[in-house]
Amino acid sequence: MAIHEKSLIEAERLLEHDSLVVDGVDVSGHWNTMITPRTIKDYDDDFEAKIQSYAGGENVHRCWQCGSCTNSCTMYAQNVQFNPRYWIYLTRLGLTDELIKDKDIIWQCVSCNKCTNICPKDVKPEGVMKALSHWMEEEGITEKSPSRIFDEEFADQIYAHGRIEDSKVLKNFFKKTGQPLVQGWLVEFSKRMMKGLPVAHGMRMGLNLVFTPKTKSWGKTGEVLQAYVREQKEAAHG
Amino acid sequence: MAKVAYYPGCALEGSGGPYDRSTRQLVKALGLEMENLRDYNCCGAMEVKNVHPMLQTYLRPGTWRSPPSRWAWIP
Repeated sequence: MAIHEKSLIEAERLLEHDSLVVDGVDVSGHWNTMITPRTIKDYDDDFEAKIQSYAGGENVHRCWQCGSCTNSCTMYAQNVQFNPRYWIYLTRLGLTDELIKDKDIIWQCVSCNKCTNICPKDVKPEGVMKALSHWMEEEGITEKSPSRIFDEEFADQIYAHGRIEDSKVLKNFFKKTGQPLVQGWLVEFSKRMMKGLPVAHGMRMGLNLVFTPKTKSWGKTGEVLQAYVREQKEAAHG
Repeated sequence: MAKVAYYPGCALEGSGGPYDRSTRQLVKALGLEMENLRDYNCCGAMEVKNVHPMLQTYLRPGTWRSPPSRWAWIP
């Protein structure tokens, strides 16, 4: 039997052989293509609530599956497997196994927030993407994503000084992710930046490398914020 | 002349330069005077939101902690 939309079916579920025997019945010849039925038996009833306990996932229950998020998605334009609407659907059903299949692409959300702006139900799909990738990290399903490492480095510098120093953020990010400090794109980027840069600006950037910029009245603000974040996270998921 | 406080952050001095220039034009056209905040802190951009969403709210008071003085230098 001809199955025209094979691309929509996961390859491992397609049975296609010259001679095929299913449950003792020989179905070779014309009927050589079968689809393994998908049996779903492990709904996690508490999964939606769990994602709601993560920052950004609070409104996931509001979704009515219009698909505006996927339609507006920057990443979907790059890769049609990146489908926020589908992941929100899986989250609501509690189909963690299906979600985990996409563990290597969920974190790729670039936070352009077009989905959040367009969502008619204020689901904040961008937040849900972050909540899902944080959940995967905490469960040990995925390693800490590069984007997460960058965000933490950024926040750490704010905690410490009230400000960040771009080159220091980048340097520490490269170190933490095991990348070389000098990379082709970075050299090109710096060259082009230097071209039109006012002299005073360049001098200030140089000074910032030597003296880390600080907010003078910062005091203990960073410590307080850090303690607050720790408490909130403990209260939300222990 | 009414005075408004201005928080240029990091982007308006760099990648967001055009916004800085248009804001200044607008303020001039409205007949307002603008003063930079002194000793402000990072607003957190979009990175802190992923550490904790309330951080972007709580980083704000820091920027209002130091209102501009009469003598603040406006570039």
